[in-house]
Amino acid sequence: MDDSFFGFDTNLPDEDGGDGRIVEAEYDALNDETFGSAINGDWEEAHETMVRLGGNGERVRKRPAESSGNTDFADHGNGAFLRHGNPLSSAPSSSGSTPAPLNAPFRQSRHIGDSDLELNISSMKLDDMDLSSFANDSEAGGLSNRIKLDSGVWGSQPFPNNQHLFREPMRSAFKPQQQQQQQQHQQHHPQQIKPPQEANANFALTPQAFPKITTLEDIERNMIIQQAIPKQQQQSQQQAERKMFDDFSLGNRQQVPTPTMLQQQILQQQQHQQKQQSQQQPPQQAQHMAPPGFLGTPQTSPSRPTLGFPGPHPLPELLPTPPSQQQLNGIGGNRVPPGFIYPPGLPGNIPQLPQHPLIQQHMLPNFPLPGGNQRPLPNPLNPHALPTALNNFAMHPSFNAMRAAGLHPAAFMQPPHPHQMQPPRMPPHPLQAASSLLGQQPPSSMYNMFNMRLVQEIQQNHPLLQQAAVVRQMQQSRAGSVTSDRQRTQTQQQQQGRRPDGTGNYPLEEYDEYANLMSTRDKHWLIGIQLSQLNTETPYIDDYYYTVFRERKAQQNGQMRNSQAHKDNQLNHPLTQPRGHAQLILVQLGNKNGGRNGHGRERRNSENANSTSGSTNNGSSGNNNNLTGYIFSPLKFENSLGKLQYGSVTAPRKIIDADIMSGESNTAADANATSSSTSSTPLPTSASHDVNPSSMRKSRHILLLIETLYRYLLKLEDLESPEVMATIELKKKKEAERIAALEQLEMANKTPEERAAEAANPQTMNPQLKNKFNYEVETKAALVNKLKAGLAFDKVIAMMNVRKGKILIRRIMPFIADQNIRWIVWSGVFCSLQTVVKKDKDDVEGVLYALYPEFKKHVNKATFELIVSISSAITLNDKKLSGIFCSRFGILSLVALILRAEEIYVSRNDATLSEENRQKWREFLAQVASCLNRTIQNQTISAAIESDAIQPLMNHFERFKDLKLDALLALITEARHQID
Amino acid sequence: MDDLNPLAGTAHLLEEVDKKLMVLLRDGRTLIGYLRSVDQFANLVLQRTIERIHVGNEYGDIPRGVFIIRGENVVLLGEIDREKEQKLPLKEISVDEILDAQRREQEQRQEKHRLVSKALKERGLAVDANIINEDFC
Repeated sequence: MDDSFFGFDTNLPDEDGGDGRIVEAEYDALNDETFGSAINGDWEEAHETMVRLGGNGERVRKRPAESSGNTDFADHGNGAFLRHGNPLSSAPSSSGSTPAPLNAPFRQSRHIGDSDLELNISSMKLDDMDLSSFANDSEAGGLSNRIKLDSGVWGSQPFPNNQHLFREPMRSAFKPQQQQQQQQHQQHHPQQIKPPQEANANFALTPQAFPKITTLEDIERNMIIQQAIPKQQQQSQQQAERKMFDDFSLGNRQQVPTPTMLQQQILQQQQHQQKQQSQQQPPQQAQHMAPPGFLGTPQTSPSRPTLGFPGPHPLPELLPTPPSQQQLNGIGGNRVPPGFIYPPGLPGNIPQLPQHPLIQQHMLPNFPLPGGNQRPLPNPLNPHALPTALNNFAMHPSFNAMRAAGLHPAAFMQPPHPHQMQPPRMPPHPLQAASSLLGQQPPSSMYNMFNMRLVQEIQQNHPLLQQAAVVRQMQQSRAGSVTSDRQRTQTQQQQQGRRPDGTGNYPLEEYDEYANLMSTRDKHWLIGIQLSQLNTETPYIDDYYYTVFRERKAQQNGQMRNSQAHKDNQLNHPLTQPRGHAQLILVQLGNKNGGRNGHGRERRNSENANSTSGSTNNGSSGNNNNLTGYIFSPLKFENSLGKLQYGSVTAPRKIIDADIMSGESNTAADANATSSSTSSTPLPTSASHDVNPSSMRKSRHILLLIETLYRYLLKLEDLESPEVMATIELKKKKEAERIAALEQLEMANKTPEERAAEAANPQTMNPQLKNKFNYEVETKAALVNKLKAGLAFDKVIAMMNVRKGKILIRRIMPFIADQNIRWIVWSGVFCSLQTVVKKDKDDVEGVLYALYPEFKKHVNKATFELIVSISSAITLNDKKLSGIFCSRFGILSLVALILRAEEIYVSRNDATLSEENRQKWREFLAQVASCLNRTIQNQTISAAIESDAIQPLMNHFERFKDLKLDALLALITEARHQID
Repeated sequence: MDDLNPLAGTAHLLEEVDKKLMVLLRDGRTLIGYLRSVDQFANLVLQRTIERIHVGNEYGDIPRGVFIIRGENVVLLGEIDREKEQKLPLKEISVDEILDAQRREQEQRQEKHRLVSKALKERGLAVDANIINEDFC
């Protein structure tokens, strides 16, 4: 039996049955003191009286039964159980002592003859006593139950005709059940059935079996006899008894909290039936009888050393309450929460689950809840698995969440019972099992009620609490006394060393009893807060870098999704599309703070900062480079104090700006004037005259130029993708809506004077009303023109020295594929090749080589004149290291050039194939040959050349036999060998 | 954690929950404990906290129990490497000793400060006492 029996705290005011009168017989039936201490239930006396009246007192017996009538089932049942509780619960503890032998001497008969007066007085007293005592219970049926109490207590009926005490419907209801159970019983252990026990099980229901009231002395003597059984035998029974009590208490908890006595008694019967079966079964079989999820309970329950032998109960004074009474009293006790309904009769039907707690955690929860109720109601069958520390949790509002998350504190706060005698049996964690299955926790009142109930359970039943003997104090201040118990619990658990869920940086064997204090809900909440700051409907704009990064990753992984960006914008973004609970939070939060987004990883951050100042410029001349009109204005955040001091990862440019613009305000102003006066003036002129002695400054300028060009490039790339454009339009629309809404709000709150003042002075405008998303959709032509403005020959050379400049040029190339400026760019690229190769000799990242495909595409359309002009840009000096031979890009480009030349030579339909150009080309080849001879051979790099390119090359070299192109051919054929 | 971590790629404290952390506070104190709970302000709940005082190659631990730290006071925090923790190159001494050592160290610092300011004063320079009083000088 679990400690709910013993642990029940009588100090708790309990209207229904926790009045602590009868119990102790259960574990200390012979203790006079205990009996005597029964508050007002001098039931011994009453019982004796009953015995005395047994012969002639039938009217006494009859009267109350009749008075009770058939009217009030609830009260009757309740009261009956109240009274029956004691014997019921005591029966198992005395294990066979209770059944009074049929032939027990009727000792009390000698008193019968004393006097009629005494009899009458005693019978009257009985009534009086009942009145006074039951008045406390405020139970209407108290009086009428008295008789049943007595008849039920001792498991026998004085006379067969006493049957009429039991209403016919009850009997008819019980009997089938009873028979059925008996049959079951017999099937299991037909040879072990003993009539007395059987009678005991059905004490109140088979009155004909024991037509006599046994006296107290009889009972006591019987108990003594029983206890005289050799201890070995008892010990062998102990485990089974333990099980039995588990079953018993399980059955109690499973009681349907309906007030009908009928159901209760059915359950009662079942319990006893189980009990008896398990009593007679070996432990293993007894376990089979135990319902799943309940098998391990005894570990946490107070041990029952008094089972079957008269050992002193450890907690006699602390447990004045009759637990049996309360437990059996399905309605009254707060054992079962309202609405907490388990199907009756379940225990016998459920197959046994494995007993190991870990297994159990992963199994289905012990009991299917009726009606498909999927709430993770913790298993009330084993509330004692919850240590007292749970009180705090249970009272905590997020307790549900903790449980729902499968992180129930009970999982790691399970105290082993101090008196535990059978260490190998691990307590199961029904709560865990339940919560693991049921992942969600709808807030419900039933829940809270359960929590409260749980708290009560723990307070009442936890052995530690009771041992601490601070029960009353506990009830007054629940949280207070928890601590010490918790500590104790801790230590015990540490000894136990169970590890619920290993996260954290512990060694695996280490046990962390406080792990997972944060529930999943809490975590989701936090994540939601964090996500809400990142939440955006247009991540391509607001979270550009991450979005594009993800897109590229996806492409790398072969998950080519064309419209990744689009999907991202449809709230499919990994940052805006969290799973599960957090998403809900986000939906709520996200709507509120849409306007606050955009400071994060917005790619156009710095553009936004300057666009207000540069917008006039942009408007005046579409071809104008933004650089010319750039005036640095430090980025400011709304509502922030002070100004942003440093650049950030997202906007590193501010560092550059701060330096350049401060030292260059004059030139910038100059450039501004020039460009505004002659708007068609291309940038290079204005940019070239601010060449600064400081190379540092120069390089920074290049960085700035690269960024400017990138901005155009990105806009161009945006134009390529309809999804992105849709996103931008959406963002624009949203921004417009936001501003419109704000304006409306502002206007509503303003007087006409204020409006007039504001109109006069736009500077006072609410900064929130400024459009933060000023993405100007421009035509491709306009953007290409802007790009072209920045792609001067020297700029390209400078850009080629910067890694991202190289990338920029590669990405620009597709957009200028039909522009003549591309040849300037290519010239610049080849011109810079020498330094570039020297700087990044191995071209580890292939940034330079990545230019080759673009070049190859372009060169196929080149005229001979262009080829000649490009070839002239290739640096072929007498340095030992020549960029053109020492990089894959160089060699391949050279080959591509030669191939194109050969093509032109063959076709002969190129207008520019003039003699002059032929001569230049011939000179170039001669230069190449001589340069290659000077170049250290092992420095050259053999590039993989398409094998079909070899023959045209050789044909081409045939045209210039005098030029000793052997080395070049050798270089190329060497590459061919490598291929072969 | 994967299923509840949509913040992949984003730093957040939830990853540190239930780990043993060292937390440096703004006042220079060093706490070591198990992070049990955090909130959006980075308020921390540390359990089994110790305050560790380092003086030279010695350190001492003062048990502090459960520590709730207001987030703004956290300078930095980091997970303790359990393996490295095993072979700490420092020597542990008792609380009294370490407190004593700390006191001595502070006295030394103050003495140094006094000398510095005196020397500066002799050269006609005013010293902002607050600057020198910093722990980091």
